[in-house]
Amino acid sequence: MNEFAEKLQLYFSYPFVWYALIVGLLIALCSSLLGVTLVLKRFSYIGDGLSHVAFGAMAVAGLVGLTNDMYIVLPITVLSAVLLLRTGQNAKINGDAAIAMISVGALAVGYMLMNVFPSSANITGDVCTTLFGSTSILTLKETDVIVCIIMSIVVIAAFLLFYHKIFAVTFDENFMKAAGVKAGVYNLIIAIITALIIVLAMNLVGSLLISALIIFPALSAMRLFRSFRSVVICSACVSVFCAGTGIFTSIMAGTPVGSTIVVTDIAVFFIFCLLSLFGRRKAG
Amino acid sequence: MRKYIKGAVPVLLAGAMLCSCSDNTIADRNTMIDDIINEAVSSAEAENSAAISSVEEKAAEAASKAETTTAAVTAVTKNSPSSQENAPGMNEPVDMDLTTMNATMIYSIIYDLMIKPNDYYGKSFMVDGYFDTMSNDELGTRYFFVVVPDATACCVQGLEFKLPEGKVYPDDFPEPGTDIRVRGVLGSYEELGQSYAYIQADTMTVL
Repeated sequence: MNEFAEKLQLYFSYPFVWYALIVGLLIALCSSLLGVTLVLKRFSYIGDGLSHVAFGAMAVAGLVGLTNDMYIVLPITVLSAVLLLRTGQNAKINGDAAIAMISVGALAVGYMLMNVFPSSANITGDVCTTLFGSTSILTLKETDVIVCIIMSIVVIAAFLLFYHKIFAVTFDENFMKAAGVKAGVYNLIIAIITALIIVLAMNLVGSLLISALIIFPALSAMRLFRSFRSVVICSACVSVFCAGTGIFTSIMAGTPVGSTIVVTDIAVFFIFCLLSLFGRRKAG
Repeated sequence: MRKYIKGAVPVLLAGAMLCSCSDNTIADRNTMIDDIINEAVSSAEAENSAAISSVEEKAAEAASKAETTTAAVTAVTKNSPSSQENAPGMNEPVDMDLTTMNATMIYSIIYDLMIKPNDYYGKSFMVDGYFDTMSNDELGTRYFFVVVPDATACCVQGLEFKLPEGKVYPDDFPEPGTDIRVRGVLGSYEELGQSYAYIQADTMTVL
């Protein structure tokens, strides 16, 4: 026990461990807030689709030779999010088909570009880092943390400010339009925020595991709560708890950060399922 | 008021995106290790050249101490696994004992070391990894590395080390890929106008 405490003290003496924890918790909080809306709008898989788009955009940035690929990754991801969320319902190819098409298409093109025009000697490492996050979250710099804090504040502020509108867009977009409210504007805001979160979360869990960060907390919360507000609050708590526990476990046990967070999310989901089952039996 | 705040949100979102654009989070993840070392060390040098020189003096002093100590002991042991415990100086405490840490932390610390070497110069290290070597034919120099993979085993960090003078490759070194433990003091050296961090090893043990 003493040894464990000493190790804990030693690990937390490194600033990058604190950076990982701060950024991880903020990303988890932001992703869970929007997760409820995305799950209810039946866009659970959009995180996966957009992260694959970001992966493809990164490959293009490597091909162009940009040292900072965010100049390409962020605009393309935002554009894709807008196309999927705003026009998805009216387009000829809609919903899950559009997401699936963009997802696998971007992944394939990105991987092909990375192999045909390699920007580094370690293609396997690059792909693995992008897809699974690797230890990216533990290699953050002060500027990364500051950017993440600013973006998180913007995301949380936007969510709180437009809470009622997001609620309305989530449940009945047509009624909102009929009432004269510009539903498209709020869908656009949701799309931009979603893209921001995806790009942020790629550092934490990698592009293949982002969907888990978005959907699991929301689905867990829905096992126990019924109202939109309580589901959002519970989802945020679950997400922050799982991210904190996952990061802590991976630091202490040496497991990969992203997958440890997702495994914690899965465990909590099953615990909530059991609690829901017991709750129903008791009520019955 | 609420209307103005609502109007400001898209602007804030755009601002956040621009902030993100000025950041190089993900780009850095994909940069080659050498590029990271070169970039980080050169930028750090430009900013703190005075600080670096004092740190380097310390590191050189510590490294020379290590070399002096090593002169009296056998630097390389290629014996049975138990030899690591008997290797000279292996049981003495070090500032950064990476052998007791897990893969995630080791990888992260070495990455941090590459980005901010000034924080680590002059500190004694003990690190496990596998041995690798490469040579620069133009300069006629051979470099030796202890390579540490991350937890997912898809990324590796190579930490350069130098054995005390008199050790010859390949006689005094193991085969590339062999698990080794390196112990020494972190210093830096200049080559072609670039600074590189390395461990001035007093011992290298085959595990």
